[in-house]
Amino acid sequence: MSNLDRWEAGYRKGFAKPTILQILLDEGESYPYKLTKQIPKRTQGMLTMASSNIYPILKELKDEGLIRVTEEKERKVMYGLTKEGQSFLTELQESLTEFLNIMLANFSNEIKRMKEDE
Amino acid sequence: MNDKFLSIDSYMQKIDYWLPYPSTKKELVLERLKAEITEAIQDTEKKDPVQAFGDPYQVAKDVSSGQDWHIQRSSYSDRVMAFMIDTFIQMIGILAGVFIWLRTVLTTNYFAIGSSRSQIVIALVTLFFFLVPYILVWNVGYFIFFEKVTSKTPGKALLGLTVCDVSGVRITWSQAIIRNLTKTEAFILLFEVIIGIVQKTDFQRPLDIVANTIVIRERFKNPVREHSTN
Repeated sequence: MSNLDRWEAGYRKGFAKPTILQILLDEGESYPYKLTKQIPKRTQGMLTMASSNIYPILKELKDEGLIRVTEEKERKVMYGLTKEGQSFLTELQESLTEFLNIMLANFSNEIKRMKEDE
Repeated sequence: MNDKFLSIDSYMQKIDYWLPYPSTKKELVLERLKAEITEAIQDTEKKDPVQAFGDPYQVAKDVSSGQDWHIQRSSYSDRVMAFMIDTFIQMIGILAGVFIWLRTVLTTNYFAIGSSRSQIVIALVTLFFFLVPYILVWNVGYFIFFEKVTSKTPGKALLGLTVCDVSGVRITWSQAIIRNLTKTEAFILLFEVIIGIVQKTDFQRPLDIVANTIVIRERFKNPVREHSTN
């Protein structure tokens, strides 16, 4: 694993929870294995997750009151957003957008400057 | 029954093995997990569940981390009680060893020599080669063996306590050895417990921290919250 791979894995990991919340908002409900398939699709493969890695994350989100078990279908536990989770996701989207815009502007300015110097 | 489902069953058995909880507690969770593994196998068209879903040990860790099974730590008072019960059982074992040694020394006329001096020599030799190793192995090996094989010593089992990894899975041999290194001497163990209390390490002795292990209550004193499913 290269240094860049490690850095990428580090910052991408932080997007796992927001992505799960976003999928649950869009889909209404989903179950763990389906979520692990939806994550790479939604992130164009930028974010992947081993099938069982999602269980501790779902527990954390559930303990935080952001998601809840909605029902059980054919031995599959369905999860959905709680009202608290929906309003939290709205706040998070605003916060993330602001943060990413600033960071992107910062990096693009830096890249522009480097190109000018060349 | 075809080969694919047989391999799922053995895969499930491996995951089941790593979860040191009563089957009543994990039955439903494992059934749901099996449904997801079956779907993953069909989806990926990989017959091997390890390829389709991951290493059983890691899956067991993730499943356990997704539950509340291991959140209620055992207090030091319960653990001291369990240690006293285990010490009592060990004493019976040691007395049995001493009895066998004495019986061997007193009743065997080695090499038909029969003199009291030769009997003393033989007593010392057997003491060195039998009784001392026996006591050492019995003292430490008792905890290592029971905690690795059954996740609890007889004393802990009586009080409903289980030793597990911090993630909630069964401990490995190396973890069992590390966490029991101070069990040979009650004074060192007591010192370790005092450090644990002073440092407020959430009921982890220093060697528990090194070995990454915890002691949990099998039955919750106060139901914490309804168990999540996945």
